[in-house]
Amino acid sequence: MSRREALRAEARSSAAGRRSRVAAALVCLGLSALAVSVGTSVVTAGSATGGAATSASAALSTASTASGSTGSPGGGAVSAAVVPAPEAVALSDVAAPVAVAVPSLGISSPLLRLGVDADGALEVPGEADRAGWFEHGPAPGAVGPAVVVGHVDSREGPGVFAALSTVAVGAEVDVAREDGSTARFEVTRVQQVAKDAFPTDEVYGPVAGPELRLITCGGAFDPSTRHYVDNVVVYARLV
Amino acid sequence: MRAPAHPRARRAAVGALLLALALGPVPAASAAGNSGDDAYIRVAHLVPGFGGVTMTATLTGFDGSTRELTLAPEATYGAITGYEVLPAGSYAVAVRPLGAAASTAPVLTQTLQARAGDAYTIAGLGDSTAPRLSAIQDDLAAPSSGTARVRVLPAAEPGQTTDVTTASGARVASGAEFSVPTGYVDVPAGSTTFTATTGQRSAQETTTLDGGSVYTVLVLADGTSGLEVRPVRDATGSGVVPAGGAAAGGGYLAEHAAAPAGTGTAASAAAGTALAGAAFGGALLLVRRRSARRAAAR
Repeated sequence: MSRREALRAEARSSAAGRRSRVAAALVCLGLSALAVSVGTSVVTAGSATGGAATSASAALSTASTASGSTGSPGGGAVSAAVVPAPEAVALSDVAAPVAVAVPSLGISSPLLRLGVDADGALEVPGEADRAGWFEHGPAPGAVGPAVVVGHVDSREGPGVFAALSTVAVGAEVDVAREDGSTARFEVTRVQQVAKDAFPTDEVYGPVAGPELRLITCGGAFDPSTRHYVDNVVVYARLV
Repeated sequence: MRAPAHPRARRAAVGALLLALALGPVPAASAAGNSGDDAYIRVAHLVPGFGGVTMTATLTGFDGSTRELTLAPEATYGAITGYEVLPAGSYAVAVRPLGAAASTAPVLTQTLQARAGDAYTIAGLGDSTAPRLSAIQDDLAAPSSGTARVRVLPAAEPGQTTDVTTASGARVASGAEFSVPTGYVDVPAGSTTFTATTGQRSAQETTTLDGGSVYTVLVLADGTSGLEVRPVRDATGSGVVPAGGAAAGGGYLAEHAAAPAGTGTAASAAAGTALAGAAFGGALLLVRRRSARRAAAR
């Protein structure tokens, strides 16, 4: 089956798939964010244009596609409704990221674009097997703390960052960018921290060089809230 | 940040200096273990009337080994490098006139204990009759929402104080002493026009301040009677700061493995690897994953 045929077949089956992904999104995002996700899906599913991070089944993507730095008009309109400060995007001339890889762990994922949800929290990917870039912070490779987030798991299986907490200090993290270049980072620190004590300043605060943070869940799982108690934050620096 | 509209020869010197700094030291990580042990260090020449200098440093690592570094092969008044990533440790910084042999006694020296993760500006300060070398720790605390943090480093005219205001009325520096950096103040993000006054000299400069970022405004002499206002970016933060952590899990690993997620069981690592597929092979990855999902749905 060719890729095109595969995508077409997937589009036909996407309605069923969407239901299961909605369940996953419910777990990950909570009810209010779910509303945002579903609303966005209508737009982004139609605007997928074949970039590495797009497909006909990107139904629950909560961000615009990665195929262009300006995004589609439709995606932009939706983003404006949920993101408070879009003017803060253009921090540098560094090209936007399209994929992330941690070769030592076999992690590789196209990158969605993420903003903040209705509660002001970091948006997370609608699919557990894809990572996303927080597009209202610096681009990876520009000076500042670029943020990439991915799920450790969903209800149904492991996520793209299932193994992230095992990454070694000194490990390589590669970020492919729209202009064909790759930014190479080196892990400097791995931190597991309670979500209710999340180190916002350390993760998002000013830094003097180009840095990267990879974020996922970790620690104990609370079955009553269906959330992990901790976040795992991997700090890396451009090399 | 935009460069001022009036280029000066000084800028060429800064460019050359940056290049040399980037090429000079061996990669930081090779000298002091892993890269988590590194600090950000930049150097500046802010002594009006003082000639060009070479700035070198001897680094003593935690293991006692020493390394010679050239921080700036050729720095003239007004030069400031970008930050370089250098190993944390003990630095003995030396300044010599341009062309002086490394064996000659330095004209200025200073020591710096650089801690991992912190940022430092090693600056030649004072006037030409009494120059000194200072190691300034740059405070990279996060600005409040929608603002940038700005400090002033007056380096134009000995004996004169400096005032800096913004067009919107914020007082960034008031009666600031020559060669002493002020504290940081919050300034609303966006296009900002700084007006600086030192004695009889005055100048303006407009720049765009990014929210969440940190800046130093250098106030420099421009000839015998002119003034230059040069905003320099110290550090960049996220312009938008999400609240709290990230809800990036659904519970599968916790409910299907002996150990919780985040502790790195072999099973979870293997599963993650299997899902991830080939590096950057987005298209192939998607097709394979979709196929698997359809198969599972049957």
